[in-house]
Amino acid sequence: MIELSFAEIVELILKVLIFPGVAFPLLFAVIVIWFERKFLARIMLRIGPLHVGPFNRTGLLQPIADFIKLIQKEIIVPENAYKFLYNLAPILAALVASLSVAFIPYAPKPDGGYWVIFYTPLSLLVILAIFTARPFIMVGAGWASNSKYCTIGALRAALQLLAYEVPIVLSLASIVIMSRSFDLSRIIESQSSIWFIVLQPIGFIVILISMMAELSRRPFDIPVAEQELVFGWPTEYTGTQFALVMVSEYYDLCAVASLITLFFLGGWMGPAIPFIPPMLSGIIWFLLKMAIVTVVIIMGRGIYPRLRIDQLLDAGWTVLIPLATIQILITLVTAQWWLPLVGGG
Amino acid sequence: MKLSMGPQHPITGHFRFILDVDGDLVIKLDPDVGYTHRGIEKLAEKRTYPQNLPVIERTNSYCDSVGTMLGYLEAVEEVLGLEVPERGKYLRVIAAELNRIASHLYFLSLGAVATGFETMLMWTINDRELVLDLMERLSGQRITYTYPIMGGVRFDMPDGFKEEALKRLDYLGKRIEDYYTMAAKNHTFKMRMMKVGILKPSDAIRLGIVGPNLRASGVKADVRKDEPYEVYDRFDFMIPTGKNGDSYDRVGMRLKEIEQSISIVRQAVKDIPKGAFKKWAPYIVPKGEAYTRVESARGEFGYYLVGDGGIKPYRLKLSPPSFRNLIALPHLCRNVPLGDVPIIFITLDLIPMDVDR
Amino acid sequence: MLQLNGGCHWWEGGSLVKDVIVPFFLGFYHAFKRTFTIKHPFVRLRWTDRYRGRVVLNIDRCVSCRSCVNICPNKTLEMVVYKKRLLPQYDAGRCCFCNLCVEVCPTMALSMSPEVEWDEYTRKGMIRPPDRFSEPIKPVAEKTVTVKILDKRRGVAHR
Ligand code: SF4
Ligand code: SF4
Repeated sequence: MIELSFAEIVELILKVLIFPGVAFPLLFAVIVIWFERKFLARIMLRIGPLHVGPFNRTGLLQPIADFIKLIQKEIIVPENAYKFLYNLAPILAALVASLSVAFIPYAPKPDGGYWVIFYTPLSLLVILAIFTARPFIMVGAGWASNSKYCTIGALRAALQLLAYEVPIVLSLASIVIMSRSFDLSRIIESQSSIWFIVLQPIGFIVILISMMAELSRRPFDIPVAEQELVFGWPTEYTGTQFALVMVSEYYDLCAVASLITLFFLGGWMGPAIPFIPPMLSGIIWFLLKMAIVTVVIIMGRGIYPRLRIDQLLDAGWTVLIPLATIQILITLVTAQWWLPLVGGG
Repeated sequence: MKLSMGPQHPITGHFRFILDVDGDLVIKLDPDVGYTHRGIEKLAEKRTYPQNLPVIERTNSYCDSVGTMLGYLEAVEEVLGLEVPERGKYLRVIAAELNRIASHLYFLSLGAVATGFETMLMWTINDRELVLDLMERLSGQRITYTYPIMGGVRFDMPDGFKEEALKRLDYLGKRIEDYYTMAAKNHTFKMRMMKVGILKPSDAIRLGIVGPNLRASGVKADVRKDEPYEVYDRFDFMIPTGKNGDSYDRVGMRLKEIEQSISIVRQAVKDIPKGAFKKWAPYIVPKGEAYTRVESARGEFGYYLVGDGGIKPYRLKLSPPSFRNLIALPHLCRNVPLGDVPIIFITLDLIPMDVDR
Repeated sequence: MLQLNGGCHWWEGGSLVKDVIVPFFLGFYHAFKRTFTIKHPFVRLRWTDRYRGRVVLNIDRCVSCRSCVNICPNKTLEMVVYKKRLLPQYDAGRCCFCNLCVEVCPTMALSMSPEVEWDEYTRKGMIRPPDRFSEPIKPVAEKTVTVKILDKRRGVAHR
């Protein structure tokens, strides 16, 4: 039995319920949905959401209003659906998506630990395992809906997500080589003198593209291609279940933006902000970098049309995987030059 | 697996396609038309000649209503032996070309949305508003103008129309550069459009494809040049043609045609003659028949009119361009990925009301 | 094995770097342009004088000649007895705003007005007997805008 002091219990509650636990991804989802709608609207020369919320005509609370509206709606289960799996899939999707933030360290603590809900030295492996679970939920949901569009969408999702997991794992390999650790906090520590984006630009591009494909965001939103498949694997979902599916998508975005920040942009590294405790300034730097990554990922939806599934798989297997492998080779060959640069260890 | 796409589907409008799907591959496409059949040819027999104007217009209302009506008016005027005043002809050309620009902008927006490219959709729809507003000043309506009437046009050019039109066309011309950067030169867009739905020139002629789709295949055919109606022979414009006949060429064709239409409108507003813009047209049309064809935004629109000396047409046969182009759809959609079906469908510029009449 | 028709590979289609990055910045630049949309209930579009909205009857000028009823392609107009006179009645649900009745009226009793907001809650309300047919148009009190071209940098906006 582990003895927890009062301060530790308070800290645990703070972590689980507020940051980076339950409240943070939800808040992130709300802000990002609002920002995405508003920003894409500006690119398209529209105004975007307008009426709901405080401040004059910003529509700040529009995502929450949409969420409330969706919760009120009737849940329609198709007659021929496999009901158990059909009802389970959205809950599972949201749960699995919200799991990964538990393993991501957001700042160092003054006493030498890290601000993370569950610390494990193999956190990178756990995150990868969580990511592997997603295609099965999609296939399950698509198959259980028993609709043709859903089935095609689920198959596309399986093809796409499985194909793009390989380049992610490969380019993470070169990161692990570099930082000599599976521990996410150690990976950040090792970037104290130079960020990995400078040392591994190829790996960064590979990860950015593959993560966007993993998230099925445009231009890679092939599984939910509206013009071809109505809405892909979640076509039949309504009401709360649809809301869960949408929220899980943004939970994943939150995790992915954190991970890219952590792997390549030096996590919480940054000049200390005066008058603010170092832990808080670390969190602020982390969130700032996360915001930039999120904007880049979101912009893809306004700028590029959707690809086709065969082009996507073609590019995945024939370009990204060789590129990631080349990155590993470069990392190994040039070891003598970068070794002094990498801190922590 | 049989997949029924439409009539309630994000992209197909009021069509239904019955697809033979094998995984993600479409083996055969079967278009199922008739959801918007209104029997316009029969309606036309029950109405007098002027009453037919709004009806004929609605074969193709939301895109190219002036282009659609011109042919009917040409046919009626041919049977009547009526000569339209010069100014009326110029105004008809201005309206038709502005309408062609609006229609092609609409096409571009749909073509972009077939690949999930919402930004281009909004940009083109926004800029279409400029043209619609110009048409509103000219005709008093935004979509269904009923602007040309027998013996001329309905209204004269309003004050300040020329300056406003020139200003807006200048802006549109600049804006097309943005479209080129954003869509036509966008790598992802090219990837989706190039080599998709290749229509060979020989196939295009054999299937009887008309309009920009035919020109995209490299065949130079345009009624405005081949058999000039109204005053098209006085303007200096060229007919762009494509090289490969794929979807990318069909999109590029519309962009180039917008440029040509802009130049035609510029010339027309500059040297429009003074004088009457309409002429009194008799109510009773004598016995006789006429076949006319015009180049609407979607291609050649044919009209066959038989008058029996009464106030109503004896028979009016329409041969709309979308109906002729529809035959290319099953031809092109053999063994294509499912993702290409919306692109081929949209770039052929088929609209259901035009097909069904 | 089926042969795929059409489609090109990822490397075809122009320069891989330039044609990906230039649209990105063009789009980003557009995010700071003026928006085009009208915030509708707060500001309204100004219609041109020629705009063909609701048809308005001038009771004093009508001579009950039935020309408008005869020409109307949609049977929108119908003669009814109103205050011991034979006057046209207007069914808004059928009108297509084709302007034919206005043109044919010998005494110019009919005219098109730029009024567009005259929606009704019932089908019956859409049928306007001569008294409501001849109602004057409501003035638009709020701010109205029309589409304007600003310079090339700022684009088009409603002003
Ligand atoms: S505008 Fe046309 S449809 Fe409307 S009442 Fe007049 S003639 Fe009839
Ligand atoms: S045409 Fe004019 S005058 Fe004749 S009935 Fe109609 S409104 Fe009255």
